[in-house]
Amino acid sequence: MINYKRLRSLLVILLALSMVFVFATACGPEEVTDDPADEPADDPADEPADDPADEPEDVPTELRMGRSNPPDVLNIFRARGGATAFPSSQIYGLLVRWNDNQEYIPYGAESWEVSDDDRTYTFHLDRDNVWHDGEPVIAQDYKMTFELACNPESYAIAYADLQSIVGAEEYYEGEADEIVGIEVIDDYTLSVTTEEPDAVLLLGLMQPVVPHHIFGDVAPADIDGHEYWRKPIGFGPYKHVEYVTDQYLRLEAHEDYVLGEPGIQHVVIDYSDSTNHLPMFERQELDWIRAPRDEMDRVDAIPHAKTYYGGPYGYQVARINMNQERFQDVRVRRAILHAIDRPGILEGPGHGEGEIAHSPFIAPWVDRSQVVEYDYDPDRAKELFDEAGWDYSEPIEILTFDSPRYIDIASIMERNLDAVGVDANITLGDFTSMYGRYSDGDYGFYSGYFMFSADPHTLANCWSSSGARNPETGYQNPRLDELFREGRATLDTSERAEIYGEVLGILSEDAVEIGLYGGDTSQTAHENIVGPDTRGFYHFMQFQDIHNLWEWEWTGPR
Amino acid sequence: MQVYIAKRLLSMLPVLLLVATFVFFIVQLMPGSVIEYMFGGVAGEEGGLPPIGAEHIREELGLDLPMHVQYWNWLRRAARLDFGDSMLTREPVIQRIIDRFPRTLLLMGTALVLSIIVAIPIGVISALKQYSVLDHVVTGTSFLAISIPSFFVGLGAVYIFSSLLRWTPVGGMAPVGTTSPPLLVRMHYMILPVLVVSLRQAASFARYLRSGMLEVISKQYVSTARSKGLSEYVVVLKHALPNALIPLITIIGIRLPVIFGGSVVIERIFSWPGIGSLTLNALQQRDLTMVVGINMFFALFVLFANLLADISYALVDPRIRYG
Repeated sequence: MINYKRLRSLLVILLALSMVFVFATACGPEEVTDDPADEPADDPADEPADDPADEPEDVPTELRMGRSNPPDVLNIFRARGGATAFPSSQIYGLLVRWNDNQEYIPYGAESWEVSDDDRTYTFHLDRDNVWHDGEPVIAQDYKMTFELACNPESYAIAYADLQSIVGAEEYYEGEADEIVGIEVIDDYTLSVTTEEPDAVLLLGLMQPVVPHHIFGDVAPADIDGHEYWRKPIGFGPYKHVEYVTDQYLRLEAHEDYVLGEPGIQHVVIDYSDSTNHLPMFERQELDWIRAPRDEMDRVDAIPHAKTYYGGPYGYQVARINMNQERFQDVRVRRAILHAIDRPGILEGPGHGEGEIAHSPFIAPWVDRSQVVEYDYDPDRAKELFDEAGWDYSEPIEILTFDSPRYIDIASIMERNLDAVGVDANITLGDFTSMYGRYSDGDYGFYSGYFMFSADPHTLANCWSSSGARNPETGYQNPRLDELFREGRATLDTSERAEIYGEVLGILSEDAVEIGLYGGDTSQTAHENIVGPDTRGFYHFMQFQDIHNLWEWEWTGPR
Repeated sequence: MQVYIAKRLLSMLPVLLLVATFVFFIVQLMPGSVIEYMFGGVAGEEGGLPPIGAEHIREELGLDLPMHVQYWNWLRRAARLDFGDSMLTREPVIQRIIDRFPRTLLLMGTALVLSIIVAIPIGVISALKQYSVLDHVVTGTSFLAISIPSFFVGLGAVYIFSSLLRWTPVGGMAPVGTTSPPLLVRMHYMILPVLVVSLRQAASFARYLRSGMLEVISKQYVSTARSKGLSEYVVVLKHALPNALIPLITIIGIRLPVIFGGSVVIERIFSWPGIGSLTLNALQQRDLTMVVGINMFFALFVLFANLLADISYALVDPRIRYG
C-alpha cells in the first residue's frame, strides 16, 4: 500500500529544499570576480544608476555599453581577437597612435626623431605618463613589452611586425637574450634601430604596453599564468576595476591619463546576447549599442537614441583557393567576378549601405587608379568559363558561417553561379570550423569578413609569397614580392602610394579574391552623450569607431 | 538499500567512461581548434603567430600529442576528479563549472519545482473532470505549450513582456554592472525565463499526471475507498494521487537531461550566465577540456538525479524495495 505519511514527508522535503535553494542561490555570492577581496557586497559601485554624485545635475557618471563577446582572457600576448581588443584598448597604452588621417601622433612618446639613414627612431617619452598604480612609465617598460611580443615562450605574437629591428631574429631564434636594436638610453628615452628602413615600424610598435615593475623578473614562459591578467594595470584611459566572467567588465577613469582625463568616470561593458541589446537600450538599461541594420526604423523611433553612421573598417569577401588547379587560371577567377551580382549583394544583405569592394579597402592615400573593376555580366562570365575549359560537372563548395548575413550572401552567390551553369553548394558552420578549414587550406571558395588595416603593407601577409597567410591563398607573383619589399623600405608616403597602387592594380587584374562590399557601420548612443566618432579604424588598440571613448561625455540626464 | 546504492554507483563508472570517450573524440573530430579561435578572431590580414610561437602554444596545450595520448593524459587526471584547465582562460574547468552551475540550478531548478507545483493540481483536476470544458481547455493549452519550441516562446515573451509592456527585464540575472541584487530584484530577473521553461514542463507533466490519475481512479481500491464512505478529498489525495505520482517521478528523472540540456537555448535567449551558455561558448571556442568537463559533469548530475528518483520510489511506495 501507498505510504501516505512518506509521501507527505517527501513533498514537504521537496518544498523546503526548493525554498532553501531559491533563497540560498538568489542571495548567495555566486558570482566569480577577479578579486573577490576587493568587491564588498554593498559596494556602491553596484548601483550605477543611482550614484549620489550624479544627483545635483542628474548627469550620469557611468556609461553602460552592450557588447556580445566577452573577453576570454586579457593577456595581450595571447589574445588579439575582437572580444579582447576593445577592453584592451581602454586599459593598455601605446607608444604612438593614429590621428584621424591615420598619421602617427604622440601617446606614450611625446616626440620622436628619425636618423638620416631612416633606420633609427629615437622616442622621447612623456614624463607625466603614469601607470594605473601610480608608477612612472619608463623606457624599460616599452623595451620589455616589445621583447615579450617577439619571444616564442610568450607566443611571439608581434614578431612578424617587429622582425626588422636589429637583433629581433636572433632573439626570436633563442640566440640572444635581448633585442639589441631596442635601446634604453635613459628612463625617458628609447631608441629602435632597424636593419633596413622600415615604413611599417611604427605600426609594429603600436603594441599594448605592460609594466616592467610587474613583469621585469618574470620568465616569459610564466607570463601567461601570471595573476596580473586577472586585474591588469596599464596606462590607457580606463583602469580595470572588476570583471565578472562573461557578465560585465567595470572600468574606472584613469585621472592621470596622459592624453587628458576621460570625460566619463565609469564604464560598464555588459556582455549579454546581442539580440537583447536593442530592447535593453529602449528600456534605458544600456546607453550604447550596435543596433542591427535591419532594425534602424525601430532605433529611430526611440526618443533618446542618436545614431552615428560611419564608413567600413572591414569588408565581405570570398576567397578563392588558388592551390586548387581549377582556380589557377585567371580567366576562371575573372569569370566568377563577372558571375556574382555584387551590386545585388550590397543592396540585399548589405542594406545598400557601403560600397563594392573592387579592391581591399586600405589606406585612403593609396593610388587606386590601376584597380580593375569587374561588372556583373553573366554572359561574359560564361564566355570566360568556356574559354578556360571549366569542368561544369565539378561543383564549387561555398564555405561560410551559419548566421543570416553570411547565409544570404552565400545564397546569392550560389544562385549566380548556378545561373552561368556552375554547380555550387553551400556548407555552413560556426566561425571556428569554417575559419579552421580556411586556415588549413581545406576550401575552394570561402565567404567571410576581413578587417583591413591602415597600412597597405599588411596585404603582404596574404599576397607576398613569404607572407604568413600566403599558403591559404596559394597565390604567388614575383613582381608583387618585389613591390612589397620596396614598399616596406620606402618611408615617403607619396612614393608608397604609387608602389601600393601598383600592388592593387596587380591584385585586381589577377582577380585574386571576390571583394563583395565594405559595409558602413553604425553605433547608437543616448542622445545626451557627445563624442562618438564616425571614423572607424581597425586596430587591436585603436578599436573601430569607439577608439576615442575617453573623449565622450554625458551632457544631460539619462 | 545500501547495497543497491553501492551497485548503482559502481555501474555509473562505465557509463561515465563511455561518455568521456565519446565526447572527447567527437570534439576532437570537429574542424578548427582553440588556436584558430584565439588567433583567428580578428580574421584580418595580420600575420598570425609565427611558426615557433605557434609550435610553443600547441605544445603548451598538449595539442602536438597524438589523439590517444591526449585522451589518456586527460583520463588519468579525470580519474582524480581533475578535469584540467580551460585551454582558453587557463582556469580550472571544475572551478568554471562550480561558478556557473548554481545559476543554472537556480533557473532550471526553480522552473522544475514550479512546473511540478502547477502540474499536480492541473493534472488531477483535468482527470477528475474528464471531458469537461475545463479538461478540454487544459488539454488544448497543454498541447499548445508542448508544441511550441521554448526558444520561440522565449523570444516572443521577451518581445511582449520586456519590449512592449516593459514589465520584466530583457535578460541577465541582475541589473547591468551588478552581481548581488536584493532578492526581489533577482526574482524580477527570473520571472520570464522561469515561466518560459516551466510552461512547457508543466504542460508535459500535467499530461502525464492526468493519464496516471485516469488509470488509478478506475482501480478497484479507489472504488472500495469511495464505497467505504471516505470523502472525495481523502480518496484523491490519499489513495489516488500517490499512485499516479510514481510514473511522474520516473518521467522527471528521465527528462532531467532534457531540462538541463535546454538551458543552452534558454540561457542564450535570456543572457543568463549559467552552464548552458558556458557550454555553447566552449563548443564555439573548441575549448576541448571545458567541453568534455561540462559533459562529464552533466553525466554525473543526471546519473545521480536518476539514482535519487529511484530512491524516492521507495519513499513513496513501500512495496518497492531494492537490493
